[in-house]
Amino acid sequence: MNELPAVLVSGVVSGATYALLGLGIVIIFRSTDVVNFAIGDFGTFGVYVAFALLTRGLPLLIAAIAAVGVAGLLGVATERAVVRPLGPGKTFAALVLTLALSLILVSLAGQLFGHQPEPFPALVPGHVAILGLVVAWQKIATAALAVVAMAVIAFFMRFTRLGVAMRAAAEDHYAARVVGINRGLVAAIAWFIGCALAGLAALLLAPDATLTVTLMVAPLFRAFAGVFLGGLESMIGAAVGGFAIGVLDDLAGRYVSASFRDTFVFAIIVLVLFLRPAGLLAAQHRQRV
Amino acid sequence: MAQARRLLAARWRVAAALAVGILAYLATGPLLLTDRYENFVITTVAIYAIVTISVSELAALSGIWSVGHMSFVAVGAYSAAYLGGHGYPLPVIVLVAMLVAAAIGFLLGLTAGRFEILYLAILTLALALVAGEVVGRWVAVTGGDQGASVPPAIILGHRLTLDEITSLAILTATAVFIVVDLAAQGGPGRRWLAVKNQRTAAVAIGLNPALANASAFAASAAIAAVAGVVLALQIGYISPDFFSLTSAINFIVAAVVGGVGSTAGSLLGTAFIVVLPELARSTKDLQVIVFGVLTIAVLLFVPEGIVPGTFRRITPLLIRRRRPTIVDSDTGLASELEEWLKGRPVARDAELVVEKVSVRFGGLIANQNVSLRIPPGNVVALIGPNGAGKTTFLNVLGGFVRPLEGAVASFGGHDLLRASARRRPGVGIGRTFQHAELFGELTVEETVRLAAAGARRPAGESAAVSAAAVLDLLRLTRVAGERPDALPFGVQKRVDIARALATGPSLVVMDEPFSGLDLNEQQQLHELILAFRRAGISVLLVDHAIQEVLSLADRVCVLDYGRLIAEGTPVEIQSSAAVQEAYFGRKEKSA
Repeated sequence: MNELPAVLVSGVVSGATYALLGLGIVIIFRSTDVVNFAIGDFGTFGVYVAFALLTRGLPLLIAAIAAVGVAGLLGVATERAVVRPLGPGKTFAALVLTLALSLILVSLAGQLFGHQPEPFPALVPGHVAILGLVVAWQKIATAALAVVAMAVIAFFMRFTRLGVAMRAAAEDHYAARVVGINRGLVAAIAWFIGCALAGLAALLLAPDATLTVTLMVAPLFRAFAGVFLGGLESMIGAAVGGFAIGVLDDLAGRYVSASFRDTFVFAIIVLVLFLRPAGLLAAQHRQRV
Repeated sequence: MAQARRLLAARWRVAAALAVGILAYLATGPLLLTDRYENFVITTVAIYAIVTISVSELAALSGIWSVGHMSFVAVGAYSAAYLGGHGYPLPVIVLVAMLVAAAIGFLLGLTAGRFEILYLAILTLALALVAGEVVGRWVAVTGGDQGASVPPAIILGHRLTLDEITSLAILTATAVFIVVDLAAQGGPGRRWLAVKNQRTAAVAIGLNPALANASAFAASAAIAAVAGVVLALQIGYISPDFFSLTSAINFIVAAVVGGVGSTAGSLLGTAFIVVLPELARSTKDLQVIVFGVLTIAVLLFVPEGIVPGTFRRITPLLIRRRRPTIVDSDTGLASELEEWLKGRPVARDAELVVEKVSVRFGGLIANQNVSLRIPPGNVVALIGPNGAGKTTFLNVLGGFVRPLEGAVASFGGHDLLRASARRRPGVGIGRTFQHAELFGELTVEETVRLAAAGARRPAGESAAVSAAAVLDLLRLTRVAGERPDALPFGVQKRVDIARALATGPSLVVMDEPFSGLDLNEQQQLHELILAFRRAGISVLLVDHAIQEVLSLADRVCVLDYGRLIAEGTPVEIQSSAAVQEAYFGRKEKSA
């Protein structure tokens, strides 16, 4: 039997979560120049909160909304409490800071919720047969929710006053301040959206992977690979890159070697960086002399 | 002065490293002051400190942050297990591990110049993940998740005991600290810093940025591999757990917490990442949380790291820093300079020939059929309004922009279009910059000496001697020990000229040398350029200061919209209608 369609579908579905994460990384980077390495752990933390609510008998929908909200609010709190005091222009210090934050969040989650893997229910149970291919509803829901979330972000960035202000601030912090854009507000919203997207990604990943403190480590790596493909500055690039990595990763896992998937993804990143250092979709950097 | 102070400081640090090493050796060895467990902790600190300093100095000297150094430690550790298992002696194992790590590091370093710091950091982070995967899955060599046992080390037929391994670790760490410190303060460190601070200016004095980054990364990786070998010997059994992402991140934390580029900071930072977890073994989660919180606290409150941060707070109390002195009087400068230049071994018959240079950026034509000649010993000026294409033309000459097919550019018979940018000083072309572009972390003396190091000098003259001569001639000796940020802009631009002179040029290309200078400094520069000409050294002046240019130049070329619209003597140019129009717009007939 030809496995290719099944592999492609699963690649697109996992790619959808990488795209969400990548989009979150890019939104935060564009507005505050911070590569947030802890973004995945914010998502994991949100899902743990949802899990706690579920075990207390609350409905799945409420728990899911809580997961996304908690992840977003953690992001806002982080930006306000530790990232902003660090000051502008310290991109590497900020990266180290989020690395440390990631360590803290993983341990905190372990301390609060334990290190045992927990089963997390699918958002939509059951399977459906499409053109002879049996697909879990959860997978379809994952892809659909991811696409809807991305569409909402696209609409927000393009057509709302705040979204346009955020894009302006991303292009030129100083000029944005001159025309009266509140930078603190822009940063807070960017961190909320970015981390909420990570919360959604974690929520979509948890049912298949079971809930552990390291839920988001491998997806984050792939999301970064996608961001590299698309360029740190490009929202569309991050989304497309995420899908591409999802598909390539699953193809490689099935047809090349299941043991060396990370190595394969790494090889793709290195290759892309050699060919187009600013990302495949990014505008070519102007020569600076 | 400052130079001497730094050498003295370096000597103190060597002495301090030796003292710490000897103390640690005595305490753990002959004096029996410590028990087994304490020995274990001290050995671990010594080994990890080697990794930390390799990460820290790479960041300080090259601006490259490697999150993937744990991979090189793994190379060392598994070399010890695999090669040791096949009966190879320790020196061979160390050598192989260093070579393998250096090769990987060299390749990564070659790419470094292409990316921003963040990209490379994340790229090396990815390397750490991949190393973890390879270690876990390449069972034939690494033993996979089962791990691999490490046979005892053999040196000259002797099997090392555990106590001897402790001594070995301390000895290795001490040696690495001293060697790294000397290299960082010496030639390699200065080259790496120059490339990190000002890439273009570094190329203009003949340095190769890609090679500098690659060699820095390779050296750093090789050092980390040495630590890996000793680590494997110490624990006797290695498994993928040792090379997790968390441990990779730990070294970054150690470097940042202790203070980037500080040797004492590397040791302190390492103690932080080793001892803290040992203090709270039972509550692992809590320990990691404390660890993370402390790291963030240091980043927020002592951003430069604990050791440099402490020094910065203490130093003003101990030493009152002198204000930088102004340069000495310029009396006799021009004639002394002329005499000195006449004695330099440079070609005085080289002519710059440029023909039909056209450059297009997308739809924009930046240069169109520009031709220009500079006969030996001539001062030629290139002027034109903003956006006329002057900078593009300079970049073609400098080798940073490639013109379209059909262009010719040669100097003294050397084809400039085929030679890479860093070959310019080699054929006798020196360059100065509009904004001086000095190396921020190098002193004036180091900058000029670095430029002199690659230059043709009279037989038997060292780079230091020739740098001293240039500094003396340009009246910069009193600021020789200063860094650029302590100098007024006019002095910075003079240092830039000294740097170009030290490369032994027979043509000096000057980008807006008069901009930003006060009247007095402009006058001095005028005299300097005249001295160049009298000594048979050509000058290409690109500037807006029309009056200065017209009074200095033998010939003037005028660019507008990428094309040469006029060329001639200053008198001819002054009366040229085309030039008037380009600069002041078309004259309206008054009604």
